[in-house]
Amino acid sequence: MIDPDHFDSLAYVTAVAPAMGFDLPPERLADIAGAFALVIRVGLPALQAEVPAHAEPAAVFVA
Amino acid sequence: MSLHQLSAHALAARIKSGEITALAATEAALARFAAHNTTVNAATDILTGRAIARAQELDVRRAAGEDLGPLDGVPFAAKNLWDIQGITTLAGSIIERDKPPATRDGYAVAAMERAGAICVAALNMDEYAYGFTTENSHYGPSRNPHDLSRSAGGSSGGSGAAVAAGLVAISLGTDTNGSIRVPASNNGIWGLKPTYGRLSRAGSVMFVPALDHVGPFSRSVADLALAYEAMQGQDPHDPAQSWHGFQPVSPLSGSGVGGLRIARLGGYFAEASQPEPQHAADQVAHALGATATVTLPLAAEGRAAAFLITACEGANQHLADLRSREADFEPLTRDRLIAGAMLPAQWVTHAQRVRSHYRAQAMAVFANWDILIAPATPATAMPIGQASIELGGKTLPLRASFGQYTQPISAIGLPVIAAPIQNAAGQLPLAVQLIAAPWAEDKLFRAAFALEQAGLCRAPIAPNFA
Repeated sequence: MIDPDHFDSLAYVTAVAPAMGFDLPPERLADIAGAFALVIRVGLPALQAEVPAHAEPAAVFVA
Repeated sequence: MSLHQLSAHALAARIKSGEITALAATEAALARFAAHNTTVNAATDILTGRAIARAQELDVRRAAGEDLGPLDGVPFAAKNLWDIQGITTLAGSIIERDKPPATRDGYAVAAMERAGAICVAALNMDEYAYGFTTENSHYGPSRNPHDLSRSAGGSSGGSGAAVAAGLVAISLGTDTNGSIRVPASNNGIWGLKPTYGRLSRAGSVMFVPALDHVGPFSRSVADLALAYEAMQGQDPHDPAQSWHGFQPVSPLSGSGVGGLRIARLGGYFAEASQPEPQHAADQVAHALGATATVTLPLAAEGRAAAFLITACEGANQHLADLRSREADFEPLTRDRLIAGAMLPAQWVTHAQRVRSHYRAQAMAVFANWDILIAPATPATAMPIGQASIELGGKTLPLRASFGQYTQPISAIGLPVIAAPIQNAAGQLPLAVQLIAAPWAEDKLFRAAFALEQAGLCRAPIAPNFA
């Protein structure tokens, strides 16, 4: 599982930005890497959570 | 008593009786905006011409004997992400500013007007609803009427400030991760985030379709009930709506909480907080006779899942503009949106599965309890410009952390009433979440009415604006 303390967000966003259609100047990448690192840090409890095989992945649900 | 001090309920009664006209009520609200909007920056557009024309029309129809509805002549205002015929829907963005004016009202705005209300203003917000502070560099921050140096909360910050400052008695907002409940807490007013799918969102700018809700703010429970009733209706234009029939709640004002099983949420909801929000939740629990403390399993995981889903879906809504004109986005928002566009698909799919697993665990809790109580925010309103907050011995990013107690609840679409407590910390108010199982808004209203009648939860106009 991802380790937020050692994940290289700058390398990741630098690699992925062109694939997502972003033409970002190099000086912008550090800020976006910081935002990506925050997503990992806050999202980590979900990324680490184990779910049963039947857990529904559908995005739209009825409460 | 001045007109701006009246509840919507009282104002409509006076208009129906002929004591005052809708035009007088509308002109009074417009005068409040003219006098105070530069101070609190609640509105981005004040709809003078439209509102006066509608008020005059209502006065003519009423004089002819027509019953114009429970909100007859009551001014209200709506977050500027709803379409309002005649103005451009900004959603807090300068990108939207180039678009033509809306040609029809969004569903909720139209529904309020079908009930007799008059839309007088469009309200400020975080850009594209992505934030908890309404620190919008394009249109300026909305300021907290209780302390102008502090945030009105977000993303429906203008909606919160407008009601707390007595500009209108009712406003409309949206809530994806806490954007009704956080401003309700910061501004010390009532807020309702209904069950996911209860109210139509058609004609509003979506932020995260899997999590977006709409709802009202008010200074009394009776007004909250009137607005909620007005906003209901089956609408084929919101594909996420799940129509359960009309749910009247105004008649519940004298029902009390007898028979309701009420508990305080502990665990995640008692951690990483300043003391005042916990004390406020304890006060509400005591007033409602709740002695048990229960935990909501997987709340932290559910909140984290909502954070990931938000990042991904939020980015998807604006991907084309992020690629072509990212410099036009709010600086506080754009890096988060771009980062969200880069999330691996497997992370987001896993987050959806975590959410559904968490939802199943939460539903089991509601087999034993009707209402759960938790703080709405981990602290009182923070100073505008503050970037971090100390919680649980850690320094955390403020804008992401202010929704830590609201996000796990909206993640699974549970209905919530934010119940205000004044002077929770000095002059600053707070709100406490009353949380129910899906479609049980009626139980929440019973508890809210009881708390208001007990005198614990109330929402007067902020003292400097009374």
